[in-house]
Amino acid sequence: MTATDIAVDREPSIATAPSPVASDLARIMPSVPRPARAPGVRTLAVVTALACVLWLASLPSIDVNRMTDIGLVSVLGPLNFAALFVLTAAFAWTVTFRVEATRLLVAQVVSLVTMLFGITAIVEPEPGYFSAYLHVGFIEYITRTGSTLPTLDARFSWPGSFSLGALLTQLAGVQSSLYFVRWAPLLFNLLWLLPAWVIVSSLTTNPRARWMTVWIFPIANWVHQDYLSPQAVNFFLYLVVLAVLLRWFRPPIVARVQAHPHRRAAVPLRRLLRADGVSADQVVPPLLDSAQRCGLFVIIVLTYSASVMSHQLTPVMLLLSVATLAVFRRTTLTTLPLIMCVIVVAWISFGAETYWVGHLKTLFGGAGAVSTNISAGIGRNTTSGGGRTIVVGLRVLFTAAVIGLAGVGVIRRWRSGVRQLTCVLLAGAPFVLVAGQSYGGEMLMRAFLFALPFLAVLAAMAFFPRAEVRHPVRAAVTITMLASLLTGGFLFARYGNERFEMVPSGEVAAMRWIYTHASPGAKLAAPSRNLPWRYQDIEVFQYSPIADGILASPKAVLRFIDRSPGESYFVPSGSQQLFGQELYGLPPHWLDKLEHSMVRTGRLRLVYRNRDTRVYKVVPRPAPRTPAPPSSSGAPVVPTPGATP
Amino acid sequence: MTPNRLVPIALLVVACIALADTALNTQWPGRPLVALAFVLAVPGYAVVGHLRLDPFVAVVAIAIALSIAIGTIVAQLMLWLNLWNPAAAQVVVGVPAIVLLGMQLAAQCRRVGGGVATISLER
Repeated sequence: MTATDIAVDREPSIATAPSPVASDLARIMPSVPRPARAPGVRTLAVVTALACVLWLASLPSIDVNRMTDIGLVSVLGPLNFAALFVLTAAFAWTVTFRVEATRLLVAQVVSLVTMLFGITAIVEPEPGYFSAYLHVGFIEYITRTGSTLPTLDARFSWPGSFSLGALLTQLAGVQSSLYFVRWAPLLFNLLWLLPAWVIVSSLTTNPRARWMTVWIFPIANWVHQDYLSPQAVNFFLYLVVLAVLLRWFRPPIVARVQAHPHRRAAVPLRRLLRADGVSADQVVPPLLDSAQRCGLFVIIVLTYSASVMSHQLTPVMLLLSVATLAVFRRTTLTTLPLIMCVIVVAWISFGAETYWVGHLKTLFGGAGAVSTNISAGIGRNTTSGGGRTIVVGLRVLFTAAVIGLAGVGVIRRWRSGVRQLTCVLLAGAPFVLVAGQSYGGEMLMRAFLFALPFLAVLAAMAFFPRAEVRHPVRAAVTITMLASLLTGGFLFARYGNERFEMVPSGEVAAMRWIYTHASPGAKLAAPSRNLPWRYQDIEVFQYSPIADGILASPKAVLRFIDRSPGESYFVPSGSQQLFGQELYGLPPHWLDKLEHSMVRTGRLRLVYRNRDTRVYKVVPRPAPRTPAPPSSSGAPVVPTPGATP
Repeated sequence: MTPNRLVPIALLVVACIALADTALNTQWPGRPLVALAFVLAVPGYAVVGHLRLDPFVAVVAIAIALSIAIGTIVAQLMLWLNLWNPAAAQVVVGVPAIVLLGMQLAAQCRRVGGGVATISLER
């Protein structure tokens, strides 16, 4: 290995665009054999514009009310699929033949993200996902009271993002942070691309691999964590901290190996783990002066501190990734994990004390139960049959395909002389936590999300393991086909639950009616948590999602409602019926039957209804004069196959 | 005009409008977007711009992360101290940010001026 092996500068061989990125590309890019039929930049721009027009034209025909149990895909028309295919083809040809066309590639990536993550904001009647409404409720509480309620919900022990949301809401002069919910997924997915670009730019100078990474990252990101939530904000912080470490605080590995050539033969395993190998597209970390280093270090510490205040999981994932970098000498900031540990312990000891006292079993109970934690992630959503099973199966298959593609990338890079171990380590580190926590059955998919930026880099290497493209037409066709397949898989995996995760207008109107008419302290009972409630007055009402184990029995449900005296409401709705059917495995029309049985008891009085939702006021139970006779109501009992007892 | 020059000017304008919005409690359709740009970019870029890093994508990403961190920490401090006052927080964060952005612009002007002087001397 000699110094000449690591030379990255090559003679400029392609025309440069005016932007700095393009000039950088021109400096490092080798010449690419272009067949005579290679399309020009203008042609590719026209094709990209055509894809956008097709997509816009497809929107009016999408009727989300006709969705089936496979989700949004069931109502997307041929124009929508055609738009995605044309855009993918345009990108494939651009990245293969015209990678210097930076602006066109940016436009294509932004168009893709808009098509994938902006569609629900346009075609659905209300901003989506019920958890976002709960987060809006936390923010509303802070704006109203200037304080938090850690005893109400565990998430209030990590209130950083909610307090930031409250600050933003009041500075924006809007009534509620619901204003930001609709477009949050699009905004977050665009934001995540910035550090993802910096990460891949720190790992390779190969511009094709870079663009391919920021193409694969969104189409592989089916994990629905981009709604208005602390995890979405914190995922951005996670990416930025790792991007800074990889770009500016990476040791010059080549120089170190050269300084100790005798160790290379003596300790091959250590060499394997500590050296990525050397290639023409290796990025040499830029030199920083002391002020820059100090400034970036302070930024990392501040960013991590904000993350620790805001989310339970992200700081642990980040600590794990940074510790991995430090242990394998992939960063010069080897004391950073220690500092991060101190910050985490300080927050848990003081800021989150209310939560962890009494919840130690929740925190550490899953340690070592790897198979339980994995099956909790895969199995919990597969109780019903039909489309739901297809969606869950496709999610597993899709995730495996992304990991498999990354594996192919590792092998192709290895064969071209680079081990890319930094990326492999960062892709693997999040999965370590699967051994320690089930995180409510979500740990596996959360680990996949945190690994995804690095899996995307490796998957991009499967297409472009080196800067040269020997068979450009074949490469473009392969990218078009595989990326189109992945995009199709994404639509199933990401939007497979959309039929019940979509928020109907009627449910929002019903909750608005309740907030206007119900007395403070009233109990609001719903057959599931899948309702756009708690977005205001979170501590004023008693919110009671009914446990799925008792949904079979109207009497048990009424007993549940009667547990606390006072004004009570029962709120069944269409999306809850679908939620129970697809997540709890309840039979079709289970909620209609339950509702009908409860009405027949005479305990429910209809006070509000619309197409999607009914609101019943529960008539207080009369005081019993004699011992209660055995049940003889004859109300049909809804069987609950697969329901958790 | 390069992004390094354009962004501080744009953020300076955003900061001034956001401060005016809050002070006058205006209600216009652009206010939420201005507030979003303020919270997500102004304090972070005011600091990161002085570090003279590149590439620009990295500068933007770090600026947004730092803005989120500053906003979170300031909001959290207000909660701890029972002093919830978003308008005051905006002044506390916004005024120093405006000063720092102004210093960035002044430094750029000096660099451009110095460059011209050097060229003229060489000639």
